Amino acid sequence: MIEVRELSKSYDKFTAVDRLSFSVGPSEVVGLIGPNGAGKTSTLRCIVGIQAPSKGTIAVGGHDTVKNPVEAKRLLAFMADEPQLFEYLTVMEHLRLVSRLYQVREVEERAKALIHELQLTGKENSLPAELSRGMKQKVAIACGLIHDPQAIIFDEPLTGLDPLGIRHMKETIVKRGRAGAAVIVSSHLLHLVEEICTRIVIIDRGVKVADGTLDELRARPDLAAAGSNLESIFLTATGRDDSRAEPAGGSQ
Amino acid sequence: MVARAFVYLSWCSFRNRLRVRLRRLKQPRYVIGLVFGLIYMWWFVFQPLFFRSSFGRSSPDANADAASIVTRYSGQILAIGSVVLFLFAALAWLWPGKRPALTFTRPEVQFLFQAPLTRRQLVHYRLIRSQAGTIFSSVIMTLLSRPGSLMSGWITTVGLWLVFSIISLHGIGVSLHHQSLRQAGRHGFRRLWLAWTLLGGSIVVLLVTNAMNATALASAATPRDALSEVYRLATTGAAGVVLWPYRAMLQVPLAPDAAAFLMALPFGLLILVANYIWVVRSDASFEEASAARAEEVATALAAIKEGRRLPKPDAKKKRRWFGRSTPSTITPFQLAPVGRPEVAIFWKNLIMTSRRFSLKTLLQISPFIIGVAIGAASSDNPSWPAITSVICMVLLGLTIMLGPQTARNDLRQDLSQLAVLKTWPISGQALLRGELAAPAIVLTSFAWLFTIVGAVMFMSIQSKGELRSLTMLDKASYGLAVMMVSPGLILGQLVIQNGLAIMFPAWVAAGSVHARGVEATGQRLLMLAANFITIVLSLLPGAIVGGLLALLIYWQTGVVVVLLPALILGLFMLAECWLAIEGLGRLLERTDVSAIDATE
Repeated sequence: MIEVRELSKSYDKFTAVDRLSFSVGPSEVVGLIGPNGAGKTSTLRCIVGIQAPSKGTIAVGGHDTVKNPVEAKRLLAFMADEPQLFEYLTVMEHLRLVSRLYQVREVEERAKALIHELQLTGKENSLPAELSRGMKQKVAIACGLIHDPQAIIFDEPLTGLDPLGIRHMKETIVKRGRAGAAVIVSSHLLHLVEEICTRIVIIDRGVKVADGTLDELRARPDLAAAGSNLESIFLTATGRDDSRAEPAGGSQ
Repeated sequence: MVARAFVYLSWCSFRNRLRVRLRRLKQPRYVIGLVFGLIYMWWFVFQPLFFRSSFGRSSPDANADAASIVTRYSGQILAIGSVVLFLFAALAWLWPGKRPALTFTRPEVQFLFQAPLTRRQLVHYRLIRSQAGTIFSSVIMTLLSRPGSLMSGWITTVGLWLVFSIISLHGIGVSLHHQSLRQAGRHGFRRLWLAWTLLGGSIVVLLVTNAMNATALASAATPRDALSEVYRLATTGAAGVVLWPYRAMLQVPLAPDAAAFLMALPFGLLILVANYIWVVRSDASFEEASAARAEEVATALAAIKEGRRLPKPDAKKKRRWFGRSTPSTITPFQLAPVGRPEVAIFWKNLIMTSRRFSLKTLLQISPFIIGVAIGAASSDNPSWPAITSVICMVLLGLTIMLGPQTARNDLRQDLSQLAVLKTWPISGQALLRGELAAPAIVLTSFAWLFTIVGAVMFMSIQSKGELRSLTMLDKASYGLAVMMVSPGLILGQLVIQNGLAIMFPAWVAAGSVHARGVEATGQRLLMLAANFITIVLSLLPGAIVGGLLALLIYWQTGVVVVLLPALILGLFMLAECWLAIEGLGRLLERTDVSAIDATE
């Protein structure tokens, strides 16, 4: 569903993403993880069309995001880490606006179901300024899901949510994956990634350093010694495992 | 020790801000902006000084500069200035404003508010920080006033610094005073009695003085005589006593020589010190309001940097104020779930217009305006229709010329949320059409409304002079011609404004936060010039074709036609807009969100 081929993104002389390739199939929930500045956000922004790739290609549902952006975006939903809402539109008006943009006919039924699923009942006529950050996050997610996207991208989806909200969010992500959507979750919360993702892509300094299921990563010879949990694998893969570092002069 | 820390913080902030601006000059757009900004500064501020001192050209006309005007009319300026300052002070007391007395940035709140500092030390820090701006303003104002000598330059600078510092301190004092009273609750307002008595008494004195001398003021033969009378009233009697502090302040920068300056300075300093003591002795706890304000500003800047919409900080407060828990869910029209996506963006922007600018209220009063205008047309007093007609023409001019610059319910407003717009499954052209529709239709409606009312009024009056030969049909056709041209003119300007935002997103201020500095001033001037040149160029094809056709008809028939050239001009403008939207839409699809900078 999502095909990233040799993607590079540069800002002036700085290369944020360097020849990155990976794919996400239907019903897959892929965790995209990496240290700060690894190029995760640039990658996600290129996939959803916010930024243009410097090199390489991205296809969503077979549609090239540069050559045929409208068709590619029709299949996509992007949930940014910061909920981005129009401050003068109510919750219901947001859903109506997005429905029209995506040509969703049964807007009222879907909106009602999403409002119930995301516990926004009673907030239909509220403006964003009257909502908590977690509520805003839920509205942004409702807007993203109303057109039943086939490819969904979550950037730090748990930020600002309370424990109950976190549980519901995890259920929403898994539910969409099981329903056949290709899902990418970018997060620093490795336990979340470990819990809900079927595959993990680790990038560092714009380059992919690992790609596979957790078992496949554990079985990799260079990561086998790291341990069984994702945190250890991540730190070893990105060369940031201080506990395994050689003492100064030890290898001399 | 604390003072040294404050000075260190201020100095480091200044130095690093300068470094950021210098580093920014690596980008061509800032270099171009800087060049134009410097040319502007040179032309309007420094060139007159340099030109006179270097080349010694001091013709009689050149001498009639700002400095000599100030010297010649110092008495009148003193009188008018003291009344103006009094009015400012009275307004500050009556309407203290919503902003906190002392503004801090978010890092300042984070580091200083939790540091072991007294409230007085925080006030001192803020006063030190504000001095940079006060001194800079004083120097610039001095340069603009073109002092005749070095000494008069120093007198003006020091005097202006004193006046600005007192105004700033007094404003802070008033805000702190009101804050303190609010914190004290209902009982706190009882403490206002002294201020209210003084203010009320002063206003009564000035009004009575004015009323008693109204005849003398009205019978003044020349404006200069009237000003002399104002000077006499403001410097003598009870009014003279009320206005003394304001006069004492202004006497410092207006001092003609060093001796007069030294005479006036102690009184000015006395007022400054009195205000300073009043401010530092205030018991108001300003921290909460200042922290809230710092949070609002920081959130707005972060929103721009991340390509998000600027938040509306006081939305909750407004709701509570009007006692509503939910907003009005009335929308301009019911949005159908399927159809052209442009309509959805048009719908969104209309909602924004109605909720942010109270368009509904304006539309509600428009029948009233029309009714009054029609009633006035049939009235016995012939001047009413004429006045209404002129008012409508002025409003029409403002709508067409200023409307597209100020009505930003289009892509310029949404530029701060470009990241969201770019995820929508619509073409750049459709997005731009949708964004432009709301301001174009709203402004055109207003333009047509003013044209219809103005034309009706114009038709009802008996024209005089050169207009005597105009028939009713002529007048109606002029109105129709304006209605034909105005949509194209409005849409054309909107396309240019939005086009500039797409082509140079970093040059357009997103929301209400503006970049500062000489280079930013240069950028704004360039944008203004580009807008003007483009609209003139876009008018040319239609004007040429329409004009030639009108000439041809005139030569053939001897009839001056208005409607046909207007129709051609309007259609040409709309066609150009359509072509421009097609091109700009493609450009919009390629616009990178990272091209939009956050301002300082």
